[in-house]
Amino acid sequence: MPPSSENCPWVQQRIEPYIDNELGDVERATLERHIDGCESCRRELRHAETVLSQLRTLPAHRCPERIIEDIASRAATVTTESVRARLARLVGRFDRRFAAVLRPALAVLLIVVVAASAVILRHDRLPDSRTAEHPSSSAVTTEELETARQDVLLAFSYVKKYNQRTGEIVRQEHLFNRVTRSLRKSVAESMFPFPLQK
Amino acid sequence: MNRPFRKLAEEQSERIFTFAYYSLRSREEAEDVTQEVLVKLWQQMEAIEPGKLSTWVMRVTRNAVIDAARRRKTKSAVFADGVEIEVVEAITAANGPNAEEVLQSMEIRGELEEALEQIEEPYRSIIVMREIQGMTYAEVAASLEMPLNTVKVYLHRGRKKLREALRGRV
Repeated sequence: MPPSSENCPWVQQRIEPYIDNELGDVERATLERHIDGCESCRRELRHAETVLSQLRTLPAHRCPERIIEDIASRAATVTTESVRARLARLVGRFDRRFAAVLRPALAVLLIVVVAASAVILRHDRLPDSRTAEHPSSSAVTTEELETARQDVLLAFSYVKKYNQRTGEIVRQEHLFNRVTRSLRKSVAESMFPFPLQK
Repeated sequence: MNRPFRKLAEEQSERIFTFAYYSLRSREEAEDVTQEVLVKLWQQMEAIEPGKLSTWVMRVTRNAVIDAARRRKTKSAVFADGVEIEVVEAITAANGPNAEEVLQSMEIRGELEEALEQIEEPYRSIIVMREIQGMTYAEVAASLEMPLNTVKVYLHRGRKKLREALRGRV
């Protein structure tokens, strides 16, 4: 192609691909022939090369250290929260898995403590005269033992309601053994006809 | 402290900050963008495919830059809050005849940055990624979710626009 000003738009459209070495052989040769004879296009090519070389010398910018510090410390906080959440999930899983054992055990313990406390307290409050009236029997009156029995029955009814509400099974023989053993320490065995006993 | 994340943040922060800086010409906004992208990186780190981390970072950075530009009330008051300080520091550090060269170089840099800021999207992003950050065509294409040939065409158009904007100035 002869160097004609009519071809300048064609050449200038291809300056960038020319710089990037992306033109085919034919186009490249045509463009170079034109530029050799066209001052205007030669100037444009030089300008394009200057702009590009300046552009490529623009430096990278370092991010201020405090930004990374801030994010890293926030990430560490989130990590701690995440660990706590995981622990909470584990505890929840543990709680669900062992609820059938732990909760009834706690219920039994509560029953024992309440019933034993009630009996012991009443025993301590007995006047000396009563003891004198029944020297051979227990220091606890029949009426007081009946009240204690009612307390225990009430406690068992709570356990029963708990079973019905949660669907968890409190092993009755386990409950019976635990309660019996504990209460024997405080009151006469014959006075406690347990309703759960078969 | 989460050491792997800190290392990752250090590796990626420069390219995030550089891209944001040249796109917004504001250190303050570039810092905000960097912070935003690093937080997203932390949140989604495990979901990013290892081989696609760089392009993920650049895609999220570009979206954050576009959001930041939208949030701007005025685009006028952003003449390089950082560049002015750097110019003064560089000239002060240079002695005698070097001072003039430094000043000229900083002026050219200012002109380039100003012209770059005026280039519309996606041309500017492509120029910054490819010519300033040295990313490959494939990386730019993946980051911008564009076909590779489109990236090439847009890059040449963008550079032509930049050249025209800088005529008589550089």
